[in-house]
Amino acid sequence: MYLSLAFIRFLESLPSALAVGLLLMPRLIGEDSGRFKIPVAAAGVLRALLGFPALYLIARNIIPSDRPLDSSVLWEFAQGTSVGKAWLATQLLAFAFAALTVARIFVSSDLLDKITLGAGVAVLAVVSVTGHAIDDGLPLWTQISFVLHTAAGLTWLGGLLGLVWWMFTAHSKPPEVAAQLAERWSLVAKAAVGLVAVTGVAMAYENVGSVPNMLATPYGRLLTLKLALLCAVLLCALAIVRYMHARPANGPFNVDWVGKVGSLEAVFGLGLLGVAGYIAVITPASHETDIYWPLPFRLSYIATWGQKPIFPSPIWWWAIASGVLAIIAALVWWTPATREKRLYATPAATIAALFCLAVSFSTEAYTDTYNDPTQDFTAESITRGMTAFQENCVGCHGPMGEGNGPMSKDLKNAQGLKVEPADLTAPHVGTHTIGDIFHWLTFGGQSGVMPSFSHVLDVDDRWDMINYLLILSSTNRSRFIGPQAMIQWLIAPDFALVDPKEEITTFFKLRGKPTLLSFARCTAAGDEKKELDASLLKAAEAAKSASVNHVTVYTGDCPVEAKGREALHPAAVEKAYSVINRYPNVPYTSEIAQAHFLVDRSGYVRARFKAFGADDGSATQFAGQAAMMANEPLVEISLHSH
Amino acid sequence: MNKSSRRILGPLLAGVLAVLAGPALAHSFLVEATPSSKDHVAASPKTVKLRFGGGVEPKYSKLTIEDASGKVLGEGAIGTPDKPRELSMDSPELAPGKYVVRYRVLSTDGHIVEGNYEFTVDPK
Ligand SMILES: [Cu+2]
Repeated sequence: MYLSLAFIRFLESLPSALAVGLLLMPRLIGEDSGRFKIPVAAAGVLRALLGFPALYLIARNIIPSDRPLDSSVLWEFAQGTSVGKAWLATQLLAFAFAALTVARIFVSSDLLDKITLGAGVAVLAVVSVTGHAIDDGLPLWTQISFVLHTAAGLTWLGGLLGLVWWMFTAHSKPPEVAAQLAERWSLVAKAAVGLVAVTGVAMAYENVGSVPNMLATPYGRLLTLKLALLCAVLLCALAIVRYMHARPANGPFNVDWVGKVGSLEAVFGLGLLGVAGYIAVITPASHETDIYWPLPFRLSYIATWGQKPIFPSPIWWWAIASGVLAIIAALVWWTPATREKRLYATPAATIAALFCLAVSFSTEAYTDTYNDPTQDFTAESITRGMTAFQENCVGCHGPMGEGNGPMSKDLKNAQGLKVEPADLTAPHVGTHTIGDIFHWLTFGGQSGVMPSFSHVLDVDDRWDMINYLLILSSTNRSRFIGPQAMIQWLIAPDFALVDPKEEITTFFKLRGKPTLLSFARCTAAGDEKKELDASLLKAAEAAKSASVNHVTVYTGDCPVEAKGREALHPAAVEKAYSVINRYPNVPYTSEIAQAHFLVDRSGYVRARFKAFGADDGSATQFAGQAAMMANEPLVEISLHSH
Repeated sequence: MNKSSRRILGPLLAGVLAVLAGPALAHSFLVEATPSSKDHVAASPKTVKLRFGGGVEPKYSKLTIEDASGKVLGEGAIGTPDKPRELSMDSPELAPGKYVVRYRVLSTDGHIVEGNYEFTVDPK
């Protein structure tokens, strides 16, 4: 289905591009365009007619297959959906263009030619509006990039096809005219390809999402292929440009040779268009769920040099080799004796140097290395992960993940060597991608001792577990959170909030302002209760006077006036935050008697207050920190990347 | 660290394993839902509400609720003009147990987004 849709898009854009190219060529050299009038009109009409099978395929893709598609259903679809409306608009434009191209057969007018060319470029520009361009999740500049990209790219391709057509049908023309045309065309082509490159980068930024996605997703791999084809095209263009420059002024112009290289360029260009047509209808890499990293390694600073490797180590040797090769490359270039070979030897040595440098930055990777979590980093997810951890992992990794479970002493690998379970609270956990951890949970650990958990934990369960491990890995540092604001590193897990209007609201949506997140268990009686109540009331008051959000997770009989916005699943939220509610030398408990976390306006936990005592200065300290955080720049936290 | 970077060399020299995985052509940009995935709710929800990362078209979209055996208990997709990214459906009265919400929606860029998730109505 996608293939046929991609094919029809390819088929649809080809005639319009060709028509534009054939309209453009004669204009570039002020030639009479008579001999192209019929082909242009044919292409224009063909484009307009191909719109109908395209609509059928678009609708067939969307409307469930048990519903027959007759003309009334299609008409309703065309009027009733944004993609249908986009189709209607492009189709009207295509018919206007077709009418103009036909009119040119009967009327010779420079103005009509200009209008027709403009309409043709407009038809090319709107190719993308029935694709990803109308995604309202995209920023305006990306949407504009789509339109410019197709307009420039297809004008270039159409021009190239038109040029080839011109070259092969121009035997009666003097070579100087051909040379002039090639020269003028190359100016247009440069501008068009430049625009294609700029808009292409803008679109890729939004649609690919990350550099690894270029290889890890079907969309990205096709985009990589598209880039390779673009390189091939540019090499052909370079060959032609070199030929034009080497040619003596008014010397002979080899129409056949330029035509041939131009044809090859056009073939690569058509390949490009084919790939582009397919890319336009498949899932953009940035929301792809099928992520598959094809290489057994990846490049990472954090996992290599970021670990500050000590001197005699492979990382160092590869870097040194790289430096030596770079010096050799430079020497070959500048030493007179080797000057003859420098055109090949220097690039070769440079590539070798870059290769060695890359090796020094590479670390092991798996097919799942760049996987995206299916579960957001929420308190609910963490709590589910915590439960699964207690059921499956504590035997080896220990109740707190420190690698000291009851079975940890007698673990041996296949060779009979002792293996220690990983300390999941160690800082180096952060050098692995979450996808790496997903891979180990799915297929078993690196040492061969940890088994696969794919039969116990489904995909979502494994991501829940990873969310728990992420917060668990910060427990060592989180013990030292105090009233004094620390740097932004601890992401506050998101959670659902109760909303009086029954809207979907979450903790994370409160960002923009700092938030005081208060936990308390009001289960005691007597003086203890009075003290707690007073503290909670003071916290509520402090939040109010600092005009920050107040979210409360209270159990038991807490004072109503002290309550702020409430969590939808308070038990899960308390459990998840208990993981970071640690203090040095205090045993862990999953209950929070009382704690007040100050979360900054970006969503990071920054400070913590044990209680708001009568005159312990907490309120003053809180007011100061909250005021400071209210003015900090907003950092965009992506819950999908840690 | 040393061990792992030594292990890199072999694979690096082994070259590019351009393995093309079979594409799963489905968007997955359900952003939020109530009840949410794996949620435990105390009582049968009145409505099921889904929010997506982009605009969706209710007329060409469908939400269904199924019980654990796959029996369809209810379907529909109600949208409101002021919330183009949200769809909801009225939920039938649900007894305690596990349920699956399935969605097949048309996003405004003309792509079909499909998926499903589970939630549980807890016994009283
Ligand atoms: Cu899309």
